[in-house]
Amino acid sequence: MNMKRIKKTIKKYWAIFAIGIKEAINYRAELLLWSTIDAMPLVAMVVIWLSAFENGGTIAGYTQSLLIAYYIAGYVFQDLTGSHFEEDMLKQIQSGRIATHLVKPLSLKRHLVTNELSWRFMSALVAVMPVIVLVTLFTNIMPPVHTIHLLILPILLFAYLMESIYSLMVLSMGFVFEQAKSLMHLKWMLGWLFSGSMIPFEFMPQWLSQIAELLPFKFRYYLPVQIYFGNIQGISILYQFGLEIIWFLVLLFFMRLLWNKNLKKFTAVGN
Amino acid sequence: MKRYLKLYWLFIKYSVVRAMMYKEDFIIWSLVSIGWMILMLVFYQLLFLNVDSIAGWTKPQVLLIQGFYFMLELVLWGALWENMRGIPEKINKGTMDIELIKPINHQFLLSFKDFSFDNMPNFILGLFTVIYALNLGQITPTPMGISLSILAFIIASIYIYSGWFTTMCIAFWFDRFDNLHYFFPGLRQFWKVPHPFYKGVLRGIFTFVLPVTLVTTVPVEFLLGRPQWTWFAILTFFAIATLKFSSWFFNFAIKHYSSASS
Repeated sequence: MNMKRIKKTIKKYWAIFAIGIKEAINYRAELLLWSTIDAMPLVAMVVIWLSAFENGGTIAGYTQSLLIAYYIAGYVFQDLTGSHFEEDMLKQIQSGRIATHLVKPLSLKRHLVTNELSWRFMSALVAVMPVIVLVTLFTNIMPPVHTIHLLILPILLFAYLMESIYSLMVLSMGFVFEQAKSLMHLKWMLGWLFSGSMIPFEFMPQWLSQIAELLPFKFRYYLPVQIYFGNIQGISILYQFGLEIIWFLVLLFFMRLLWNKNLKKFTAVGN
Repeated sequence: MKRYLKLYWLFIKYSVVRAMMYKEDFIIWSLVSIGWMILMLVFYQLLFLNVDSIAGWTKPQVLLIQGFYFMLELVLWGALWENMRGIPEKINKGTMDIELIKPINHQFLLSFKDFSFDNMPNFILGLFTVIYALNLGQITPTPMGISLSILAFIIASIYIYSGWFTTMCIAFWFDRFDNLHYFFPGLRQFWKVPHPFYKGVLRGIFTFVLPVTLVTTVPVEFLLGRPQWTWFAILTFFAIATLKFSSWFFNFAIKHYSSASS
């Protein structure tokens, strides 16, 4: 690919990103409401754990403040790496409106991933508000940020790309399966259980935590939080990042396979 | 009243026919509901592997809360979701006037026309969770306790409906507010946690401003044989007041509705 083409590609996707930002600003009331709704489970979780630690002490190696910090940090990472475009696109598949996207000289998959990134960016800005409130309420619970924590950023980037791949897999199924929306719930369920957002792996029985460790969902929540806490350091971070890249490539391969196979079966009339 | 009960029965019958027409959808979405419920139970199972009790609440007591939470899912997603979701859509597309010209109470029609049976398993499994929790905790509720618990559940459902409908009326002032219908169900995150878990300002808010945490705790406290009459009175007051307010607010909001040839 020559320089000119690279520049053109960057310009193209930057334009999509910029449009996404403008859209997000335009629909700021919705964005604010989403952030409020997203923060509700966090507040409920904090309440449960505050009560569980009423008598102090540690549970599964966590103190009260460490566990609250776990959920707050995890909430931020989760918000940064979420992908939700499949719900709207599934509706477009059912109505046939997706055809207008498919005939454009632009990759729909890349368009969706780039556009969602702009929403993530804006959502992260809004998500800061409940985090500030919680951090203010529970002073000195968040571990200090160090330069080494910059290593979390590439992990989060690939976690986001993997989330987008799951969304694209659900979307691929939408071409052949009318109730593909149910698979979206399956994605959320697996993510909730195995990412560490339901409960840290240390609270799980060994067999369950071993499964969670093997699966790719941890890169979005549990792993970045552990790096932030300093529980995973040095070469282990690189090892985990390597694992994440492998997962990413495997999932990308299967998603492309699924997309190409199912897209061939899709038909739409009109629009 | 009789006319409306008859109408509601017709709506439900129509929904049954529709559900039977799309059996596959019904099965799939029932499985999704069951999946979420199992995950919730897994969470509390894992939590109680590590602690004996939380704020004085034992595992069976917390499971009772979850049981009522699951049963209320039928109210949320079964009885109300499709209807509430449709309100902003009808306002935006201008199709609301089709509903408004019908010779029937508009609020009733907009609120209860559709019923989804996909969440029926939630109610049944919720009931099983309650029975399991009672057995696990060796709790034997009195007939009076059971009756009051059912009454509190109905009042809680009225409060949830009124609160949600009132929220949806805000859509009359906005051109696009696609996620407004998600706000009130989002609050369920708070009512799956027993009310006594909340402390300080949050406790105040969830008692005197937005008593959503009482919707599960009050029925459970009746079953446990330790009725919280003050909370019951607060929940009842809010249910009646919000129901009245929702009616007034809807009539007020509808004055802001305009459409051209839908």
